[in-house]
Amino acid sequence: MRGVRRSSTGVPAGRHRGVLRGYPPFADFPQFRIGAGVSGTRRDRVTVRISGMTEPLLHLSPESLSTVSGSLATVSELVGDCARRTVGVDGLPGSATRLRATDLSAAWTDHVRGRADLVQRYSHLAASQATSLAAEDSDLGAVFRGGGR
Amino acid sequence: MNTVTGVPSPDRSVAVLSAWNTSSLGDAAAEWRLGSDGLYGAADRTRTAVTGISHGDLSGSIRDAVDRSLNRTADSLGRDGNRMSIAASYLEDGGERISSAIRELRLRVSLAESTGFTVHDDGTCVPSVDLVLGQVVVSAFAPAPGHGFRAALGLAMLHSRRITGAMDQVIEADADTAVALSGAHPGPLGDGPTSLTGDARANGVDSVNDTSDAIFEAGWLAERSGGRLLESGPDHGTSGVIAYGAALTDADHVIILVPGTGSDLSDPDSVVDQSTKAHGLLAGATVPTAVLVAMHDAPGHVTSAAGDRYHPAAADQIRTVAARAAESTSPGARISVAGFSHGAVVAAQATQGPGLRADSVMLIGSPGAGPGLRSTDGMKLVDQAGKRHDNGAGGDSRVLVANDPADIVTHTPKLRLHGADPADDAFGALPVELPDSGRTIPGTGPHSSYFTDRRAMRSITKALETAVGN
Repeated sequence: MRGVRRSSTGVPAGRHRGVLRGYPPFADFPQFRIGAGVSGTRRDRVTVRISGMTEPLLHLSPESLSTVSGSLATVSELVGDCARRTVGVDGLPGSATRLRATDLSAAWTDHVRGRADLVQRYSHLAASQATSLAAEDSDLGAVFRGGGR
Repeated sequence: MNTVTGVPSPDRSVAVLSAWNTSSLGDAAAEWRLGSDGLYGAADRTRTAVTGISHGDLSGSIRDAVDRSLNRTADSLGRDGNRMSIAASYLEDGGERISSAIRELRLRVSLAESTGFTVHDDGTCVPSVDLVLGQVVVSAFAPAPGHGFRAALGLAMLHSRRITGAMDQVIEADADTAVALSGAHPGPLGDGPTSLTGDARANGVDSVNDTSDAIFEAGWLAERSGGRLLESGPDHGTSGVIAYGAALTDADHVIILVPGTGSDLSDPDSVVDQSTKAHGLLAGATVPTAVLVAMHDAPGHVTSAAGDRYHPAAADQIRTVAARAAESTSPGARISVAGFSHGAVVAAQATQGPGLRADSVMLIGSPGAGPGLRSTDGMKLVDQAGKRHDNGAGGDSRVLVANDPADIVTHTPKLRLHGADPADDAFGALPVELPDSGRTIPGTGPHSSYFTDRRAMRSITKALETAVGN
C-alpha cells in the first residue's frame, strides 16, 4: 500500500479509523470502533492511542498473547486430566448407587471436558492472534488500513 | 428416612447384597478428590496467567478484559472443584454407610448359619435337619421352654427378622447414596435428574407422565403463591425448589430458605406456608432479590425432628441446591442461606464437609447446630470462586443467629437434642437484633412469628444483606 507510512510491525502509523476485532479472543472482549493513532515504536509491540488522549489505550505485544496462550494451554491440559478423574463405580451390581454414579460420571466428564475445550479454544485464539500481530500485513494492520480508506 | 420412590430397587437377595464390594466407592471418591484438587490448581493458574506479563506488553482495556475473562473462567473452575469435592464426599459417605450395612448383613447371616440355620436368598431362615433333631433330643432329655422344635422355629424367625432388617438397611443406604449423588450433577437448578422431568431412566419410570401429576400440582401451587417451581428433586416426592422474587440471573442477592419440619412439596399447606415466608423475606429487601425455598427431606413434625436421623440427607440436598443455584446467578450476586427451626440445623450441618456455597448463613429460631459443630470455625462457607470464606468475627461474622427470646424452641439447645446452641457467645455467630415481641413467657407462638412480623422480617433481611455486603 503505497503512500501509507508503516510501522515496523506492518501496522500503518498515523491516524486511522478501524475495527480492532477480537483482541483478545475472549467472550466478553469489547469490539473497538475507535479513531486510533497506531504507532509501532518497536517491532514486537503495538500501541493504540485514541485521539485527544494522552495515555495510550493499550499496549499489545505478540509475546504477551503467546504467554497467555501458553498458560492457558497448560490449564487446558490440567483440566483435561481432571475430566478423567470423574469415574463411576463398580462392584455393586444392580445398585441404585452404581446407576447414579455412572450418570454422574458421564455428566461431569462432559462438563469438565467442555471447560478444558473452552480454555483450549482461548489458548488457540490467543496464539493465532499473537502470530498475526507479528506478521507483516497482519489482520490488525489490514483492519486499520481498511477502516482508514 | 428417605422414601425414595424414584430410585429403582436392586435385586434384594442375600447373595447379591452381601457380595457387594464397596471399595470402588472409596477409590472413586479418591479420584474425584484428585480431580477437584486439579481444578483448584487450574483455577489458580488461570487467574495468574496475566499477572506475570508486564504492563508495557499488555495494558489498557485489553488487559482488563483478559483479566476479567480469565478470572471468570477461574471462578468457574474453582466452583467446579468445590462441586467435585461434594460428589467425592457423597461417594465416600455412601461407601461407608453401605459398607457398614453390608457388614451387619454378613454378620447376621454368619450368626444364623453358624448356629445351624439355612439362610435363603430372601433372608428367611430355616433350621437344618440336624438342628431340629438335636433340639428334639435335647428337649426329650431335658424338657424346657427354650428347647425343642418350636424353639428352633422361634430362633429361625428371629434370624429371619434380623437378616431382612439388615437387608433393608443396605437397600436404604444404597437409595440414600443414589439420591445424594443425583443432586451432585454439574448442571444448574432445574437441570439433570433433579429437573421437573427428571431422568426417566434413572428414576425407573417408563415416561415422564408417571410423575407429571404430582409435579403439575406442585407447580400450580407454586404459581398460585407467586412462585415458580424450578425442580422437584430426583424422587419427585417431598423435595423441590420454588423460586420467588427476581429471576436468578437478575438478582443481586439470592436467599435460600431452608424450611423446618413439615416441609413437603406434595403438601399444599406446606407450599403456601413457605410462600408466606418467602414473601416476608422479599418485603424487606433493598436490592433485587430472589428467594429459593429448598423443600427438603424434612421430618413431619417436631417430635420426629429430635435426633440426628434427618440431618445428613437434608444437608446433602441443601448443599447441592446452593451449588446449582450459584451456576445460574450473575457473577456478582451474593448468596445467603437462611435456615428456620429444624431447617436451621440442616443449614448449619450443610456447612460441614465440602462446605456450603453461601456468603452468609442465618439460623432462625434454631433448636441447635446439629452434631459435630461447636462454633462457627467448623462451618465452611464457600465463595463464588469455590474457595473457603473467612467467616469473620463479631460484627463482621458471616454466620448469624436470629432468636426471639420468647421462642421456646430456642431454649431447647439446653436439652442438647440438636447439638450446640448457636446463640451461645462461644459459638461465635452474630446475633440479629429483633424487635421486642412483647412476650416474656416462652411459648410456641413466637416461633411462628419470625416471618409474619414485618419488623422482624425487615431486620432479618437487612442483616442478611449487610452480612453479604449488599
